[in-house]
Amino acid sequence: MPRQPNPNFMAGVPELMILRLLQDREMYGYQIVQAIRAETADVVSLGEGIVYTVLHALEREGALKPRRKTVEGRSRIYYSVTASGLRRYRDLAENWTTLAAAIRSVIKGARHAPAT
Amino acid sequence: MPLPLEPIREQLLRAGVTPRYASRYVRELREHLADLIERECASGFGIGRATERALRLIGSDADLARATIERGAPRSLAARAPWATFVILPVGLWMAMFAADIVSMMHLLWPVRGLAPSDMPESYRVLIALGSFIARYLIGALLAAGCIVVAVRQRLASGWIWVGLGLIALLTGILGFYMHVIPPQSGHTGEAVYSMTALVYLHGRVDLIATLGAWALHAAVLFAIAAAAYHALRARLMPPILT
Repeated sequence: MPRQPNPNFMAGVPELMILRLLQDREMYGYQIVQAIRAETADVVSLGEGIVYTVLHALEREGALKPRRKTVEGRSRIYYSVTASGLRRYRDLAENWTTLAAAIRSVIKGARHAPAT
Repeated sequence: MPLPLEPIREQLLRAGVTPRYASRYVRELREHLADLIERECASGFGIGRATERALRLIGSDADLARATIERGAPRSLAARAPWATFVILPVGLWMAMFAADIVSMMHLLWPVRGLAPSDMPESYRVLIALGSFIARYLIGALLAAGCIVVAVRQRLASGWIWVGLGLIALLTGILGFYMHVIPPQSGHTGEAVYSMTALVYLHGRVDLIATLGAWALHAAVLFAIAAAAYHALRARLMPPILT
């Protein structure tokens, strides 16, 4: 079967990070954006407002479960990962690990290639 | 001046997104905005500058609305199938409610069947007036109001809304619950007969032209009232999008 061309390289990255972060604890949108920034040392920065379109899409797919919670007098929607979300995360992580290994291999090869 | 992020709700609604989803999205964005303002204030900015910076960080209204629509935000049934929402559903409901009214009246008036209104207890005369009011005005008014509320709430401007309002007006104009009093004649006491439409009698016979005219007039008045209400609400609650 012919291989599919790789889609946009960033496609699936926000979903992957969100699904990974929410496995540790439930979070609301603002916390998720800050956590992604902190975990990636500001290399990946998810749009502050765009995060909700990703969260809602994952929720519609059944990967996330929202619940409204009031903490310190402020009501917010917290998200947590579902069993389906965990499966989705494993698939995404596997794809990215394979892709990253392939890219690393190319970079190493180029670095050791003799100059012409 | 609209509240911050309010134009997003308008853009989502006009794209057919469900009002419930649009409200939730805007509420979450506002909560996020409040967190960003708090953070910017903690960094030493005044409230005005902090709000300005937070709004820039959260993204432009147009970009956020577009991203949400492209990500497949849920669309309302009224946007996906306006013919069902504004025609099939209200007409079906109209028929069901009308049938319920007529069946209830037949059942409740059974003990006084054939009696002239003057021979009936007062409570039955009130009941007849109520049943007539429900069938001739209330059902149509409720369903037309329902269509208008859905259309305005979801910022829809479909031609199906006019079709639905027209059909409701037509049904309400033609059908109803009517009592006709037959006056006493030699050898007979008067009686009341009931019908599901208004019939105009001339010289003791139903006059077709006058009957059709009465139906058309009733329907036209109801349609004009509904159209005026819809037009006024649209003008008041559907302002041009401000970005």
